[in-house]
Amino acid sequence: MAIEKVMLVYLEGSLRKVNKALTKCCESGCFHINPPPDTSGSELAAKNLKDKGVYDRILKRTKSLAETLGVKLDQNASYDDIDYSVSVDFKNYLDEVDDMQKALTQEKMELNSALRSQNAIYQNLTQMTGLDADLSELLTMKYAKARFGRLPNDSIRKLTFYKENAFFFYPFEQENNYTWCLYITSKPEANSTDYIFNQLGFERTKLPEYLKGNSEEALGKLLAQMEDENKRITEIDAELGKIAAREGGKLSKVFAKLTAMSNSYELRSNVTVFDGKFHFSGYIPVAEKKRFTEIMDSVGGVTLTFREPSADETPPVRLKNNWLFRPFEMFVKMYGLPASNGIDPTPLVAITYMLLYGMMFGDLGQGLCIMILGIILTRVTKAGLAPIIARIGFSSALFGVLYGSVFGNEEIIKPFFRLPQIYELFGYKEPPHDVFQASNLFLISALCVGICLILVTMIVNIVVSLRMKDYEAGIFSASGICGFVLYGSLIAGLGSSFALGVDIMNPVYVIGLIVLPLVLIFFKELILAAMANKGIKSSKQAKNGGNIDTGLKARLEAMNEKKGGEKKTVGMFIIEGIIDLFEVCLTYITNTMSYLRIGGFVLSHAGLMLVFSIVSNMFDGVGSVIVLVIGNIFVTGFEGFIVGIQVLRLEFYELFSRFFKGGGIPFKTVSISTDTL
Amino acid sequence: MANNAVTAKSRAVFGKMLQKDDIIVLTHKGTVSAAVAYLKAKPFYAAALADTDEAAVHREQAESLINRNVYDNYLRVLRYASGSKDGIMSFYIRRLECEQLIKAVIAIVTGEQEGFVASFPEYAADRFSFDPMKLATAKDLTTAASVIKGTIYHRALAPLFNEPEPDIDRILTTISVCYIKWAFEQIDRAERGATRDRLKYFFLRKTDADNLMMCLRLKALGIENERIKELMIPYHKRLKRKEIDLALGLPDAVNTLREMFVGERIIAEEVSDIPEINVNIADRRYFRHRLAVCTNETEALYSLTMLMSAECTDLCRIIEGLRYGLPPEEIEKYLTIM
Repeated sequence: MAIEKVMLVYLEGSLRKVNKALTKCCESGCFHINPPPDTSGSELAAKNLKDKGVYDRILKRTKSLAETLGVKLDQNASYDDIDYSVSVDFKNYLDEVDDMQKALTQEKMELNSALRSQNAIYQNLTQMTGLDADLSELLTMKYAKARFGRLPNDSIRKLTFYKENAFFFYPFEQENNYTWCLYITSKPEANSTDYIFNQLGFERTKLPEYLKGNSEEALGKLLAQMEDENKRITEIDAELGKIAAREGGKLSKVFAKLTAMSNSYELRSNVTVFDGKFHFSGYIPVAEKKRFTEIMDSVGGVTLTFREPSADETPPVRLKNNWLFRPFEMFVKMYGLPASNGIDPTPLVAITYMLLYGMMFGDLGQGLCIMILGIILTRVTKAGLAPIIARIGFSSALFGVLYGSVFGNEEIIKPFFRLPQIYELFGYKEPPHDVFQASNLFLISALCVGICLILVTMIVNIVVSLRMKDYEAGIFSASGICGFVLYGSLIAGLGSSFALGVDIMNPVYVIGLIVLPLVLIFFKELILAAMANKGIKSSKQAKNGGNIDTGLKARLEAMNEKKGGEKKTVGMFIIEGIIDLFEVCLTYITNTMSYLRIGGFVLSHAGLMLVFSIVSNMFDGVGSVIVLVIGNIFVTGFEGFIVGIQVLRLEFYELFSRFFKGGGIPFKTVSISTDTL
Repeated sequence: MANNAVTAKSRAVFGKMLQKDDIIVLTHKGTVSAAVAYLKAKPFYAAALADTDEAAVHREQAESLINRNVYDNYLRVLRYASGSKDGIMSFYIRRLECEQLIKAVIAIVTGEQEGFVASFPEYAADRFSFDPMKLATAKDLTTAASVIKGTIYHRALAPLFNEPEPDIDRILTTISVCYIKWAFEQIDRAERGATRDRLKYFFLRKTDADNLMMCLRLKALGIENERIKELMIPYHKRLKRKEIDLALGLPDAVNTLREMFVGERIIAEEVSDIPEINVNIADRRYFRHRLAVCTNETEALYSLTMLMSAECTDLCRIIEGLRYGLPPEEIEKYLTIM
């Protein structure tokens, strides 16, 4: 149960070297930076560097340019040969690339636009094929003006407002929100009519001069022109491609360097400047001290000061586990990181999760399938759940051997409950035929497992709480020493009476091991106060710094003050105490019963497989096999998933709630990332 | 379920809106065409700008399409409303209607009806309570009064329209009052408790901002205090009448008014020299929060519409800035998302 030991390191050096020092910290991969101290009231003229987002704009511009050129940027590209060091250098380079592509991109846009218009003209000319008039004559009339283009559909109704104006309007084809149209007006009215149509959003398409003759001749010429333009677009694309090929690599390197510089600038907000020197601090794992010192020595002129974190500091937490347990850190982090002076519950979680999953979903065939799926997923994806799937699959397979279940078939391997030593121990006279006949065995075993786990977690809680000097939780709580003695003696007393027929619950046993812990829990507040007066303060009391009066009345007064004037009498104190005790006892019962689900799932698994077995027997040959395959897939997916959730529930509610003390800060190594871009 | 549908849909629509990065890129685009081409590639604007020819598009057209996008998205979400779509949920249509009525009155008085016809949102006209085309063809305010007969505005506006010398400023204030009155009636009818108060607060934020901006504008123009007070919308929340009266009486009234705030205070880095921008920034932040936490459908739709309108305003300012060749840093001064 390891939380990696960390130490505090102060870095100090010439302000000129701040960027290099920060970059090296990033490269070390083991440095957790601390936020800067508040310098607002500082008398030493210390100030924090606040220059976030300096490179944001130039980075965006690089991305935009790369997008235009179709260059795929690589933020991890090596940029050693890029000697630009200030924003202006980068800007000049981007201007240079921009100049290369700007004219071509503009021309391409115009050509595309022309092609779109020509396409529309083409569509509309096909509607005018019956018009026996020279188009060029139509557009160059002496006393009238004709305009061809498209008008937003919304503006068509607005034309009624201008019904008294001198123009003829001919709508052609409708294209989504626009209508292609032609309007003709007299020459003197041309300006005012053009103004009206402009205001209405008319987009004029100038018919090219080469469109002479009737519409059929014009169509031919138009197609030829469109072909030329398409060719030019292909040429432009090729030229842009050349620019991309020539500059793509450099652009990528520039982007990578800018990204790195940007991130080191982001980190600068954690740096304090005083007397021309930079100062910042952070944590490193103790094991990395030597390597970190070597890395920082390469910067030159940076002074490192190491020290152990003091009691009032909260160092970040990094969990350290072996390959078998490491994937289960995900569940611990999901619940919350343990406090830095607590313990890492990952090994306990890993062992109990695998154990409980295997017990609840024991099947050799299905377990192996889950394990193989987990191994494949681990290789293919980086999903944190994949290695857990592999491990619980293996556990399921192991318990499958114990239960004698292979894809639901219990005839191939002899299950453990048919061993005489086992079934006789549980009071069976002859071996149970199947799981259902051995249901008592499974349910009692489940309870035993639950009791063991509760006792183990109580021990963990006692150790952790006493280590953290939390005497209330460690001694007087339901999971403390009192709770452990109470629960253990109740279980031992009842167990020996029911299972072995030996009654050990005599008056001395009851008063000493059951009543006394209850009394201690009831009066815990008074006892804690007395301890505090003798100088044995728990961490909470020490933090509050209060000198606690031992008298019940004084204690109640203090509690009343805390509750903002709500009066608490002696009677209330007693009633609350009784309710608390009742709750403690109820929790023991419900927590213990909660583990019955382990046995329940063993039975439900056997039941589900029995259903599919019966259905498969209704078919012959291939049909029977198909039903069994589908049944196994369903049970593996459905039950496997539910059992996974149930075990997680047991972990979080029954185990973690007894001993876990969270509030740890995650150890985050500073790195150069582009997540925010 | 339906109640959740509007809130869920509103959040989904908000998720598609532009990010700060997009706005920065847009300010660097250099031309209106390039900006429109960029917007066309964004899911939130793709449909609205699909038919646009980015090489030929001009400023007014781009702005009109962006405005229409707000309306289309508002209607898209409105479809999921559980109750009546004509009550308070139609607040945006009523708001557009008021804006158009104000423009129409000004157009009639100045004789610039052509401009009004060209710019009014025809796409929303069939949901208006009056026919804007008829209003546009009205030769005077008396004729206009007959066009708005049967609407929520007629009773209050008809006497003002029929005056021998109509007071335009009073007419404009009265239109805003009619809108607020209508909104409060609908809210009282549809909502109860804290939701009702919050919805009313949404509208009062706007009147506070409108009143403050009007005071600033008129004071800068040297209009008399009594006249300014007369023209203020008689609804307020944070901007108390007493404070305004006091501020107007001070020798340094304009600067005092500039320092007054109507929404929540914004962080120091975001404070602009332009009071209107500060109001918009506060609004954007407030409605983002409301959209994230609200469970009421009207609240969600209102918040979304305000956020869409704010983005629309930003985009119009960018397009205007690009059209006049302003440098990106200059354009950014007028934006609320920065």
